[in-house]
Amino acid sequence: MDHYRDFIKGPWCSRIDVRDFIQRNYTPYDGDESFLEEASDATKKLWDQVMELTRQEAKAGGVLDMDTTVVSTITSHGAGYLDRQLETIVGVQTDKPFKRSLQPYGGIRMAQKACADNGYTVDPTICEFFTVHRKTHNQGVFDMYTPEMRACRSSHIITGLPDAYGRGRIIGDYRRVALYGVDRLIEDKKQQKDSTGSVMDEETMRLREELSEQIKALEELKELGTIYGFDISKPANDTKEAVQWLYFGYLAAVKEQNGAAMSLGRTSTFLDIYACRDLKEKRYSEAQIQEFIDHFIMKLRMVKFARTPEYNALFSGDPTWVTESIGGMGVDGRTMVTKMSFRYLHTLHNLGTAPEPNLTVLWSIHLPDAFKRYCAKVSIETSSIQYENDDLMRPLHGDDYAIACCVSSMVVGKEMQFFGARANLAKCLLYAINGGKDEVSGKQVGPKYRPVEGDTLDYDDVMDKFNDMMKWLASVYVNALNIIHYSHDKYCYERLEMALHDRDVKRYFATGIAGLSVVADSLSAIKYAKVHPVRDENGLVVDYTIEGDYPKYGNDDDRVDQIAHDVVHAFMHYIGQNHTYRHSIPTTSILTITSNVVYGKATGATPDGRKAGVAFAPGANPMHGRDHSGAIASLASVAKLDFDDAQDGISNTFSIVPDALGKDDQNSILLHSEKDVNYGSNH
Amino acid sequence: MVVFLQGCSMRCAYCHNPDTWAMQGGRAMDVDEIIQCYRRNAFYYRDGGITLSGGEPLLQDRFVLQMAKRCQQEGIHLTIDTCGTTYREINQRIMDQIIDLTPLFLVDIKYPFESGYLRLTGQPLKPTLDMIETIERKGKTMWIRYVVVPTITDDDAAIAALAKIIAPLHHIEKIEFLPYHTMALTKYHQLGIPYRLEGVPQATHEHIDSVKSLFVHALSTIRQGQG
Repeated sequence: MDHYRDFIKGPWCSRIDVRDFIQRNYTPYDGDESFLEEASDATKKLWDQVMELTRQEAKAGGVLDMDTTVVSTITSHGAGYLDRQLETIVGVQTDKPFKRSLQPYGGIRMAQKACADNGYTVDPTICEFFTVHRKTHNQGVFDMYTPEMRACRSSHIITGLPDAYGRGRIIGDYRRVALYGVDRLIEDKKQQKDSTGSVMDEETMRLREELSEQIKALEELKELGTIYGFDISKPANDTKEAVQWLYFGYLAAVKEQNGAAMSLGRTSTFLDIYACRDLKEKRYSEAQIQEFIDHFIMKLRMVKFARTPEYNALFSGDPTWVTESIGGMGVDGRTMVTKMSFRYLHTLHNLGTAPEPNLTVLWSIHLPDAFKRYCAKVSIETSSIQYENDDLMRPLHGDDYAIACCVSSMVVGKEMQFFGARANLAKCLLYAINGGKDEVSGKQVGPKYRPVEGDTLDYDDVMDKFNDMMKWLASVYVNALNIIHYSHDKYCYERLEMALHDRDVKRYFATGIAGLSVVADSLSAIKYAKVHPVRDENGLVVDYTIEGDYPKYGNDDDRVDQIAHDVVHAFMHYIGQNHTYRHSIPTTSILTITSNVVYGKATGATPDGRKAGVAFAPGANPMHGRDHSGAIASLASVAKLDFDDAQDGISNTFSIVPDALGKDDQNSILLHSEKDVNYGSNH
Repeated sequence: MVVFLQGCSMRCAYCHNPDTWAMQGGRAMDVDEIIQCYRRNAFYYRDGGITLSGGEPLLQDRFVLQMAKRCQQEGIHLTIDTCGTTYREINQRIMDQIIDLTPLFLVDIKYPFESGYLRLTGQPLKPTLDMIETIERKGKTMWIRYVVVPTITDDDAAIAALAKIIAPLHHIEKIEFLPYHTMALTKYHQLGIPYRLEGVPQATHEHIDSVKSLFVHALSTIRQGQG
């Protein structure tokens, strides 16, 4: 049978171009959710099994089983199942569900510790191999770090760096596996290898070596299919195969990489094209298609990695960031919402709520009303949907981008990101005040600039020093990241994920900021109130007293909002002054959704009145309880930050009581005409 | 965007904002400032506009008139949330001017009988009814609001009387029955104002439903009788 029967042909047939395929073939849907089907009995049974395993895992202290003898590769394990008879979509990371794989390429010590902390011991021959014979990413980084970088790291002015764990944040275009089959992808990669220059400079040699690795990874991906009894060398023939092929692509990635965020991409509208064809051919019913999706999402919920308690503390849990981007608008004005967008969200109903996969709706004011209403309904019922602004990102990335992790946008298969954790700007401000000395340890970590003098902080003086210190910090930070990404490419290369990218990839060099609202309020306090430093016996400023009040970020007050805006702009400018690895484009983010607690803990008292060790506000949020001018004013302050300065994303964690969004008409009677009296509650 | 205007002449027993009674206090803002504040975040209010609430906003009638003129000039939808008590002969001219410029009124009817109204609020009912009549005559839209206080405002006679007031009116879009709650108690204690409804229970959702059906029944009966 012809795999491409009924598909509208186009450039996608002669080159790898999933977007072209989608644009020519998808069916926008502006109807409502009434077509959706409930969970099948098989789905319920399987999900009960997953819940039971989850209970057992919790009872066992958080980990049910760990592999200690087999190094995880794409083909390292035999097939594993929940219940082979019932599963329509198959494949787990090791040979059985909930068994965490052993991934030492990021760092053998981290792998050992993750096992040890959970009561397991890695096979000593594996430890020896990855200590003596095969270098890991972690070892590579520490061979290259300067003493200054190490000092910044241990004093937490730069934290969370991916120097001992997988960097993640790369999204393979897993749809390519389904649309083209693996053989075609290998063919394409071989052609790419033939197309490199013949002068062997470092860049060309690296590219050739990487393309070879990618081809090997694709061969192994095919083998993974065989292990489960599928031939995925050819394109998928129907919805079930398309989901399965796509999932094998993703599964191969998580078998090989324990990345900080292993996101899925933007798959729903792509898969809907197969579903439309199958429904038309009466090959599968709506209930069957929903079942494939339920089983697929179930698998994504079971993705697990071996991690240490410290890692979990940094990220407040054990997140995998299997982010899937749903909806949005096309650049031609058609909505990208399809029935499959509904089916994905419907899994929250069929399987119950869950934080993973991180279902992210690309929100636009132009989305169909019925879809907006359905999103709102599912959000109210499950609190499990993330929303991101498609109208903001579409002009930059077009209509085939996806979110990695929580907010990082990239065009699927064409762009990737070097993940770079965060610099602690609040601490940087304290270094400016203390002439490069750490306010907690008293050590000289930063450059020995002149500290502030006198009993009252002067705004111009502090700003001057802060700018110098940001410039220094940006330089150390970017160069540490250069080392990290060089090492990661060398010792822990994402072969399979990059095999599902074009040859010439646009790379973003992501940096990040923590403590923005603390910095903005501190500078505002220094400018508009009187801030007196409190020094310890060594002359180190360790606390502050504030005389008078000052405008606080989060109240739509330009006096302080402008400071927040300018700080982000300045830091991004300093970041951009540095050389970045592999011609990557520097960006920054303000999105510490969970690690703000840990960053705050490591930071002394700040001039805004925040005490030592107190948590920062998450992301770009105003500090807790300081935004007292209503929801709109709080949002307006954050919205003044320029997306151009923080293209890797700005996050604002916002909780609100439902009534604040407006009342429903539950207590009302609507009078449409004299004779027509309606109860509001029936609406 | 809701703007709360300081000051109220009513002393409703169940008022949940006794801090807005005093004519002094709050922050002085002029029309420009409010319009600016609205404009800069207009994106959030795409389907909205400005609502003047209080306190009793119409006590500051000259300011409200300025606002109404300005909103009409700038094409901003204006809503006034009032109890109508300011509609008296002495300032009827300015009230009528305001009504002419304002597309939507949220009008509180505290109680449908004069004696009970006076007891509950310290003011007469008539101005409110006059104002409703004028808004109706001028063809402006109204939402009527009625606070359901168990044992105080929920008797059958009152609900029937309310229906009788509403029945002949064509420009009422909806009637909201607001459940009485006791969340303001701590405010009263903090302000040192005696609370007159001590011991009166909050209105439950079921109670609101029963009042609603009582009202709908009364309204249908009257309208069918007219029809």
